[in-house]
Amino acid sequence: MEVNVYSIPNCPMCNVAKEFLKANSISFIEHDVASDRQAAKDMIVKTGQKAVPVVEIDGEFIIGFDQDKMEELLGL
Amino acid sequence: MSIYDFTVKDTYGDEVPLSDFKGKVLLIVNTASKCGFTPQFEGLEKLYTELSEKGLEILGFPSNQFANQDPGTNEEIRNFCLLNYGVSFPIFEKIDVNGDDAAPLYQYLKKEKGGIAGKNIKWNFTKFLVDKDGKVVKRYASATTPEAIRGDIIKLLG
Repeated sequence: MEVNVYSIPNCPMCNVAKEFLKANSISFIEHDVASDRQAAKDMIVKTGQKAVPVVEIDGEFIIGFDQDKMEELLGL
Repeated sequence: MSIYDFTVKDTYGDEVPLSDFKGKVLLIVNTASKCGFTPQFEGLEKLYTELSEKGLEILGFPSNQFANQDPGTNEEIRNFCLLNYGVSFPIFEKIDVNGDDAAPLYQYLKKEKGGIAGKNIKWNFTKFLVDKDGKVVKRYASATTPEAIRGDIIKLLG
């Protein structure tokens, strides 16, 4: 399973999303879209919007922190 | 020494000379570094949308120097933040506005226009208004709303 998290610093819900993954021992790749211009562009193109966190689980995108959706896609 | 001698960094670390903004009326604002809705961001965005074509540029500099005093209400409740704080005017790299590590631009702004109770920046959303020739003409306290500055900006836009 491939999990990507697009986030920015000082974003409470980005931290919650990352903590949730860590608590469930799910490894993920973090992209700081405030400092990584290419990642920011990719995220905007792929999701058509600018809100973070975006959690990408095997090609599916969840916008904002949505625990139910994450559990569903992660099979928790 | 003029405001156009300073160079700042955008959020991706690229250098932006303020001479790029020669001939524009500038509103320079230290913003909250936390994400989330604040009425000030909304008001600034409104001003920018209305007046950018007439020559207004708003430059936002996040500073975490007031973060611990942040009342932090709305931003905790929302389940997302917006990249670039949800505004379309430029937001630059996070800086210090007070103290020994204060960004040179802010040392200059404070020297040009000290506040009512001393030079230091007191809080997020202190605003400096700069005319088309680069002169720092006025400083507004945090509590001054963007709407209240609109008239002064329009005068400078001419």
